[in-house]
Order: sequence, then structure tokens, then C-alpha cells
Amino acid sequence: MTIDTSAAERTEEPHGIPLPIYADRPVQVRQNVRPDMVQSPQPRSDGNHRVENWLVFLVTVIGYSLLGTWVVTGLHVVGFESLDRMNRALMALHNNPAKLTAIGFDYPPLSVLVLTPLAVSSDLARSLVALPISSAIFAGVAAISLNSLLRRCLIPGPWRIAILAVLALNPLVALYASTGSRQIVWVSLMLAGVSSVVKWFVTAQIRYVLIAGITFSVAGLAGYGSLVWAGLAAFLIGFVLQRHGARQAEVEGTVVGFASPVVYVMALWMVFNGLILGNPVAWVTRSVSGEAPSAGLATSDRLTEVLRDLGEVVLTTSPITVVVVPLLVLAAVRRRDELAGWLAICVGAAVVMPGVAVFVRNDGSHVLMRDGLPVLVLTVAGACWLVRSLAAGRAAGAMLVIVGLVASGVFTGFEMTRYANQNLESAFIQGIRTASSQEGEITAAGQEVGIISEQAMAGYIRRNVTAEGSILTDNSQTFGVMLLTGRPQLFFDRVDRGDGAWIRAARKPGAGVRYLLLSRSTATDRLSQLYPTAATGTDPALQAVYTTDRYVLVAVSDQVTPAEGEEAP
Amino acid sequence: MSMTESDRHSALGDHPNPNIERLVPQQICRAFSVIPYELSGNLLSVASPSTDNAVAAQVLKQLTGHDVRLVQHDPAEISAALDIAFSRGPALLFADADAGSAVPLRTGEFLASLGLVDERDVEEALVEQARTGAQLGEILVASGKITEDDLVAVLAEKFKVQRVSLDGFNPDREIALLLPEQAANALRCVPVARDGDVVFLAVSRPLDDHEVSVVGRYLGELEVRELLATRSSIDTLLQRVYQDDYSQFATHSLMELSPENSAYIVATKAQKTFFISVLVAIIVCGVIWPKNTLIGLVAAASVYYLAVSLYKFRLTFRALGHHFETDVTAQEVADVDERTLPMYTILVPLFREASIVNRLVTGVNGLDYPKTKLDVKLLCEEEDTETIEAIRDLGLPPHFRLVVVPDSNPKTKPKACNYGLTQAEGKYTVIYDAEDRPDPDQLKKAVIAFSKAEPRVTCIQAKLNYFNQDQNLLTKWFSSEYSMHYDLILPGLDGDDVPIPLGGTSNHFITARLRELGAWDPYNVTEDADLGIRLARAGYRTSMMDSTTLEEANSQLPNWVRQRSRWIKGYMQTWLVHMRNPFKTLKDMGLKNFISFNLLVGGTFIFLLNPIFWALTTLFALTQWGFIESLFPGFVFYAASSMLFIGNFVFVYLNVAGSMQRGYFELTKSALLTPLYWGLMSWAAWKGFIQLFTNPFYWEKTEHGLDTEHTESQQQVTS
Repeated sequence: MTIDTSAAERTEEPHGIPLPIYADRPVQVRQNVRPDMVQSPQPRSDGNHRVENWLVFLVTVIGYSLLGTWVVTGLHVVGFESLDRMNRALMALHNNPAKLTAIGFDYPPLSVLVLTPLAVSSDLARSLVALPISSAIFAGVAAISLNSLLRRCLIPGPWRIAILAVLALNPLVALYASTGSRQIVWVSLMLAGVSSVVKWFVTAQIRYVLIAGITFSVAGLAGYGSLVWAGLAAFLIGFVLQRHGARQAEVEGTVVGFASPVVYVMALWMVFNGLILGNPVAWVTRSVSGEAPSAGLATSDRLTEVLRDLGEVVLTTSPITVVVVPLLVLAAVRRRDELAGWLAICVGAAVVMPGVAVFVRNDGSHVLMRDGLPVLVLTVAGACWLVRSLAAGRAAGAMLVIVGLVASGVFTGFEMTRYANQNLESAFIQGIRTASSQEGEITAAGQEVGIISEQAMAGYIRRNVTAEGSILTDNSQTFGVMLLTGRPQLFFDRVDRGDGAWIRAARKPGAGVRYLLLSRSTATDRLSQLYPTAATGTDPALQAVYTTDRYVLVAVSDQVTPAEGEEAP
Repeated sequence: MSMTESDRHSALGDHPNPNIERLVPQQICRAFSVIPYELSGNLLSVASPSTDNAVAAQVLKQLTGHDVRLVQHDPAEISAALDIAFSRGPALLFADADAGSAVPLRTGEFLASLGLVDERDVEEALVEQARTGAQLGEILVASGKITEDDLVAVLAEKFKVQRVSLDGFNPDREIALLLPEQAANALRCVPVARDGDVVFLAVSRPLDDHEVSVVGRYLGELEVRELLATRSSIDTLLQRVYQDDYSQFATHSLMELSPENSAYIVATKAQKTFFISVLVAIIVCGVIWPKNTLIGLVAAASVYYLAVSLYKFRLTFRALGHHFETDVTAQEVADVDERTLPMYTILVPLFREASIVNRLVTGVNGLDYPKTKLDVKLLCEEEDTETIEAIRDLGLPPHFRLVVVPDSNPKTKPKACNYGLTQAEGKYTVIYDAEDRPDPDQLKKAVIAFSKAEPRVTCIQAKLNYFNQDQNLLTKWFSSEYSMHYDLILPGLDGDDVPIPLGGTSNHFITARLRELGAWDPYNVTEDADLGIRLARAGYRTSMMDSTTLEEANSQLPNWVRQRSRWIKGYMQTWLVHMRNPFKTLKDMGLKNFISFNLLVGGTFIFLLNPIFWALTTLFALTQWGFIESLFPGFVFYAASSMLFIGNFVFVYLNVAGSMQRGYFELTKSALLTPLYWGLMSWAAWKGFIQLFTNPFYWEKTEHGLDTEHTESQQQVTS
């Protein structure tokens, strides 16, 4: 049966539920058994849509790349976490020897791995242009996923583009999509997974289950929180099939097919954690364990604080959530719309999870504005699903979504300048507004903006040091300098030969290296802890050859020994 | 519901309506002396000498699909109306029904009068005749209602032609060869004796004027006297007479037509020189720069491995998102006018498979295709007397032809198929294995698919899978692999318009082009894959269609290893054949096809590499031996790592995907264990590789019928 796409009409189940099942292709595409399924019109995935998707992708990538390049290199608004990840990618390719372990266990591995292709050229990496390009590419992926989802929600083309544009111009989205953040990586993959699940729900085509499984597995490696949505998706698939009378083998087989990539990547990651860190679940414990003791708040007070944070973040970043979620719940209850219920739970999970992490971590940290990013994106998906059920008023529904997003974006932009629990949001807004460098400015959270110190030290090293492995440094603190040199092979870092060899070298630097690159803060730099006077530039045996606000490069003499009583942590 | 009416109406033909008059074929109208003249709603009024002719009413109803009302008319008036109606030119419907009909219904009446058939048989045969346009006698024989001897007897009586029995008859070869093989086969006749200027020609039915003139062209002034014999006895005689020619074609056709494409030698001198030179170079480099040489080899292997894997992944992933197969809908199949269907040849090579002959016959008879348009060749090796006897004992109708392949080397399936192809009558030819269970409508789908396909499509490959996939873990793995291969990889190749290495069965060919290409290579143990590549080199194309043939999955490991080692050896043979002159192949195929061929067929060699890399990985994991680490510097390490951690899983998952795509949800769990299956594949690969040097043309025979016990137990459970 060939489907006529000219009249995309929603069909109704006998009990008035908006029937979610459509077929967008002729027969012979494997579909799950859905006894209530009626083959109904659905937009075809034809050449025009491919062109549209490519256009959406290219516009997004080019737009955010250009914006990001200006923001990062011109305004100096760039997160140190991004610099760290890019440096790890650079080390993974250009260190001597090149080691995959450079990606480390501090971040979900994919958040670093996705940067490695852009680190093939060390000049591109050290120019920092690679950072906006990387996040822009994933923003492009997110835009395609959302566009595709909107199409499945039967939202007409112009309205789709308008929704995408309004969302793309949201300042919070723009910040994270243009400055190389890792949040956009996992949010885009998670959105692609959700989009595939919606497509499966709409078409019952098996391939979307497979694609969703792969996508969620990859998303799990980019952000561990994605596993929660993967679990929710597995539940939805099993539930829907069961409810629609599928054979037990089909239910099991489909869920296994969906879940196996997710389980595989997690199992593999646990093996790596086990082999390298001696603890298969280190990735979990590291991400939730606090590094600082709590401020002595009682549990109930902490809970209250976290709940307040959550409420504020949702209201400042995605105020439309408070309207959309109740409507989704209503649709789920009143119309037995399984997907609406599932999307409501997904948004709920996006809201709650950062709070849970903060609560468990108990280190005085807060839920941040960036945690509102997945809430916003999933809320848009939920809103569009609701629009889909408006048989006669989809355009009006889409208009409402757009109005909501515009208002939300303006409000968020305003809040970014003043809300305390943030990263570089205020600097970003300020930079855009004034079109001037934010170097040295202080954010609303009290963080100093800029990389001039790293640039200066890197410049000196590039000009004066050529011997490979001649600078001993704690790369976890001096990554910015390493990255901006573009020559990680100059450094003897903790990845090169492992921590054991590095500590031995640190205790007896005269035997192997010519310089120590130290962070001037002794709080976290292991090398600075060993040579605190050198870090301040006052050690007579370790003469500073170049100094910036944050770093000092000292020459090593044969008689150097660590400070009395100091042990490597 | 049929209705009769005793009303007597006035003259027919006052207001003739040709479309109604010709709703029923002329011969049936004349047989029953009836003519339709009015259609009102679903009620068809038919003029008839009698209103109580229930048989006529039933036949007309089945033919037209309308309720029938018989209205009494004068027989002479009906006859006159018939003359007028059918003298107006070609009938609008059933246009072909009368064409070439040498035997009018009287044959049926005659048979009935002899008590060989009853009225119901004739009635059913008439319906079949109207539907398919076949001759009544052939329909009755094909359906087993009468024997060939019966038919010949009736024809002999009717045409006053003498009958002859050819059983055990050995004609004078010189006389038999008076008629060239091509003409003898086309006309199905053999000169069997000569008496002065008179040549006695054994025929299966009286020749028409045109056919007589064709014969006359070869026999010149000689007078021809026809002797009627059964069709199968003439076929047998033809085989005996032309056995040497057929055998020559079967064994040497490709060697003579295109020796550079024949695998009768494994590697050419140039190839041997090249491979030995490379080997020597590696050894020399290994002695001078041992570590760097090993790194180079590891790097080359890793890059090749990665390229093959990425290509397969791309194919399968694309196929997951698209539908590349030629679509043939159920409605299109239902709408087929069977009279327009061409003769279809089915080649079934059999070797020591007497036990499944019955199942095979049932399977073929289950095909939704007019039996009279089937030309089923059961190809048996001469030495396989057991199977030959089993087939003879069944007394099969003449659309089944036993073809005994003379004993000669190589004893391979492609040689048997070539032998069968020499006598193929069909416009299209397909191969099925004895245990195959094709979708009943597969032949019709293939005909429709050919009609839709672009002109260069010469082969349409149906999908293969297994009916005993749940027998044990091995069959589950095998089914998952086939699901991925036939439901994802081959459609992906089709979508890319690159050469498709054909599957072992269910490949439907245009017969003439198959012959033109030199048919199958009897020296290649995966002649099907090779033929797919040759098709592409010749500028033709293979397409996939959405129809499935279920086969028996190998359920026993030694048997599986034998089969798989043959397949892998054959792929290696095929690669070597087409890489004898890579530039020529590149020129023939084009760059895209050339790359695809090397990644897919040449990719077989990675099965040999697997154990080496697995061993290195395991050894390193256990010992952390630095030497192994040093073999994987920089990008080599990343290529190898990505294959180890991502590539392997991706292929496991594609097996899962293939199973789900096919709807075999039960297999998803076992598909997750396919890395163990890869181990078996590497075992078979090394066996095949070694055999490539020691016994290249040896055909590792796959034993079939190993599912019987399982199937019976399943049936018991079901019952």
C-alpha cells in the first residue's frame, strides 16, 4: 500500500485517543506488531526533507561556529573545562607516546573523544576555533533531531523553522552551543535518542528502535545522565508493545535490541574503569562524590536548598516547562497518550537529576543554569507533541510555542546577567552586548574570565622550548597552557608514563627534565604542592624563567628536592 | 449463485456488445454452445440451447466472476452469433486463449468418454486453460489427472498419428543429428529413424505448419513423418543424443568464451609472481627492519580491516533506513494475467538427496505459477543412482524433468546447473536447492520485478533465510547472519548500484543473458558470487526483491565448517579471478564497483586476520608485553582500538538489527553472542584458505535434511 501524503490527517482510536501510529513508507518495512495500528498518512522522508535537514544543519553549524569563534577568541569567554577537554584530545593524538588514556576518567569519554578529529591539526586546536566548531556541530545534530521530531509532530515547515530559530537564539542555548561545552554534546545525542523513540512510536518501524539504542548508548558516553533516559525509553518500548498485544518474544527482542548497545558501552566503560582505576564503578562514584565537605547543613536544609535551586533554574531557563508538563500529564491521563506521559517523565527527570547529583555530592555546589538546558529542549519536544494532537489548530499551537519560547528566551537572557548559580553566562551576555573582550571581568558567580595568562605562558614556551618531554607539569592544572602551545609532546605530564613515573620524576626533576611548569595556586597542582616556593617564584634553586598571573615556568637544577615534608598527594 | 431461466428470447445480435460477448473464450463458448450477451449488475445473461446445463453455468461463473443466467436460444442462432462475434478481430479478453490451441475441448470430451477424467476434471482444466492459456491436455497431465501416455494416445487417435515408445531406444546418432540441437530442443522433436527419403521424427505433439517448415529447412528434400511420443521420453532422448555437447558446454563454456574469467587455474603466473615477490619483500624487510616491518603489516591489516568494516557498516545502516528492494505488491501479483506469463525454468541440483525429493516436489508444486509454464529440471549426477531412482519412482508430471549429468570432472553444482541450462526452456531461470521453500508467489514477483526493472537488470536475487533457525545455537547465529546479509547488506549494495555477489539459490536470471555470459563457472566453488561480479563487469545489474526463500540452516558444526570453508574458498577464488588483471576489472566495472568488490569479496581475507589480532589482544591483556604495544603506534593503535571496541560491537549489533528487521525477535539474544560465531568463521576461513592451495576445486558437499528430527518434534509440539 502506498501512502498518500497529501492529506495528513490524524486518525482516532475508538476511544478518542489521538492514534500515534502512522506509517510513512510503503509496505515491507519491518514494523512492530501494533494491533490497533491503522496505516495513516505521514510525511514521507523524501529528498526534500534531506535537503531541509542539511540546510538546518549547515545554518546551525555555520552560525554557531562564527558566533563561537568571536566569543571564544575575541571576547575570551571560554570555559576551562572546555580547554581541558581539548587539551586531552590534543594529547591523545600528539603526545609522545600517543595514548588513548589521555582522555582520562574525569569526563564521560565521548565528551573528549568527539574533539579528537578537530585536534588532528594542532594549530586548529590551539587556536581554540576547534571548540566552537565542535559544539556547533552537535548543535547542528540537535537541530536536525528536533526538526525531524517537529515534522513527526506534523508541524508545518515554516512553523518548524520558526521554532528552531527561536530556540537557537535563546541565549543559554547559544552560549553552550557556541563555546565548545560538553553539555551540548550529550543534550544533542539525548535529543536524537528521544526523537528516534518518538519516530518509533509514530511509525512502529523497528529501525528507529535500533537507532535509538545506538544513540542512547553514545549519549551515555557523553553524559552519564543519558542512561536515565535510555532506561525510560526501554520501559516505554516494553510498555507500549505489551499494551498493544505484541508477543512476549517480540517485546523481549525489541527491548534487548534497544538496550544492548547501551549495556555494552556501559559494560565496556566499567571494564576500563576496573582495569585502570581498580574500581568498575569509579565513573559513578567520581561523578557523585563531593570533593569538599558540606557546609554543615542538615539534610532537610540541603533538600530545601536543592529544591529551591531546581525551581529557580527551571523558572530562569525554561519557564514554559511549568505549562507544558501539566498539559502532558493531562494528555497522558485523559487521553491515555503513552508518549505524552513518557515525555512528561523525561522532562521531570531532566529537572530532578541535577538536584539529585548536587544533593548526593553534598559539596556545597548548586544546580546551575546550564542544568536547565536539557529541561528546555525536552520541554520543546513535549510542547510539539501536544501541538500534534491539535487536529485543527496546529499552526495556532505552534504559534503559542513560539511565543512561549520568545518570552522564555528574553527572560533567560535577563536572568543570565544576574543569577548567581552560573558559569560564564553573565560574561557571555555582557560580551555580546558590549562587543568587547571580557578578559579579566568577573562573572555573576565570582569567576574571573579570560585566558591571557595561558596565552602568554604558551607563547613563551613555543618560542623557547623545543625538547620533547622537557617540561614537567601537572596537566590537570596547566592544560590551558599545554593546549595553547599546541605541542603536548614538550611536556612530561601525568599521562605520558602514568602517575607513578610522573611522581618519581617530580621528586627528582633534575634527572630528566629542564623545566617545571607550575600553577601559582598550590591548592590543586600536585607539582606546586611539592615546590610551593617555586610556585610563588621565590625558590632560589628553581629560578623562574617566565611568570604570568596564573603560572610560573622554572628552570631545573641538579640539586632540586621537594619541599621538606611535602609528599605527592 | 447461478440462475437459469426458461425464457426464450428473441434474436441474438440485435444489439451486439463485443465486450460482453467475449467475456468468455471462443473455445469455451463453442464447447458449451453458449454466448454471453448482456450484463446487468453482476448478472450475466448467456444464450444457451438448454437452461439446465449446470456444468456450463458453473464454468462460466468461474471464468467471469458474475452470476450467470442461462437463457434458452436456438443452437443455430447461437452458432451464428458466435461466428459473428469472433470474426470481428482479436478478442478483448482472453486474446491468447485460442492462439496455438491445437487441441480443442474435444480432447477433454474424448478423455472423459474414455473414463480417464470426469466432467469435474474437465471443468477445472477449462478454467485453468482460460486463466493460463495453456493446452488442455498439458493441464490435465501437469495436474496428474492423466498420464503422458494417456495424452499421447488421445492425440495419436485424434490426429491419426502413429505412437512410438522411446524407452530404452538408442537412435542412430547420425540420423538424430540431422536436426541441430537448438532446433530439436526448441521444437522438442528428434529424428529417430530413416527409411530412404523418409525421416521419422519423434514429436510430443503434432507440429504446426511453421514448425514443419523449420524442420524442412534442416532436412531439405527428405520427407518427414511424425511419431508421437511422450514429452519426457523425448527429453530423455534429447539428453542422450546431445549429452556430449551439453557436457562440453557445462564444463568448458566459460573457459572457451572468457578464459580469463574462469577459475580453472587458481592464480595466474603473473599473480603467483606478484604474491611471491611481495612475500619475499616482506621477509627481506622483516630481516632487516623486523619491528618496522611488523608495524607496517599490522598497520596495513588494521587499515584494511577498518575500511571493510566501515563499508559494511555503511551499507547496513543505509539499508536500515531505506527500502532498496524492488517492490512488488500483493495486488500486482494478484493482477497478473497468467496467460502472459513466460515459461520459467527452475534448476534444482541434487546430489545424494533422495530423502528430500518428496519435499522438493511438494515445494515446487506449491509455487503459484501455472504448472504448464514451469520447466523444472532436477539435476542429478550420473553416479547418484539413489536420487535418480527416487525421482523416477515418483512418476512426476512432465513439468519436472530429470536431467542426469554425465560423470565428468569437476563434479560441482555449477557444472550441473550449466548442464541443466543447456536444456532450459524458460525465458527466466532460477536455481533452488532441494530443501528450499520459496515464497509461493516468488516466480510471479520475479516476472513483475523484471518488467519494472531497468533494462540492464539481468538477475533478481530473492532473500534467503532459514526455516529451522531455532534448532540450536548454530542455526540461530546462522539465521542472524543471513538476516543481516540478505536484509541489509545486499539491499545496501543494490541501493548503491554496485556488484552483488549472488546467493547460492533463488537468483532469477534472464536465461538468454545467462547463456551469453557463459553461465556459471564450474571451477569456482562459489559460482554464484562470481557470476554476480561477472554480471557487473559485463555492464549488467543485479537487483534485490522482497521475497524470501527459506532454506535449511546447517545445524551440525562439522557440516557447517565444510560449507563455510567452501564459501570462503570460493570468495577467495573469485577475488583472485577478477584481480588477475586489476586494471581491466577497474575499466570494466568503474572505480566505485571496483572498490566495493575489493572491500566485500576481498574482505573475506579479514576472517584470516581475526585470530591473529585476537591472539595479540589476549596476549597483551595477560602479559602487558611491551613488544605488542610497540606494534600499534599512534593511528594504528586507534584504528585497531576502534575496531576492537566499536567495530566488533557494531557488527554484533547489526546481527541483532538484521534479526529484528526480519522479525526474528527470538534471535536477538543469541545474536549478541556472535563473536563466538566469528571464531568458527575464522576456523572455516583457514580451512578454506589452505584448501585453496591443496584442493582448490573440491566441492565440500553440504549435507541436508539434518533438521528432520527437530522439525518432527516441533510438529509434535504444535499438534
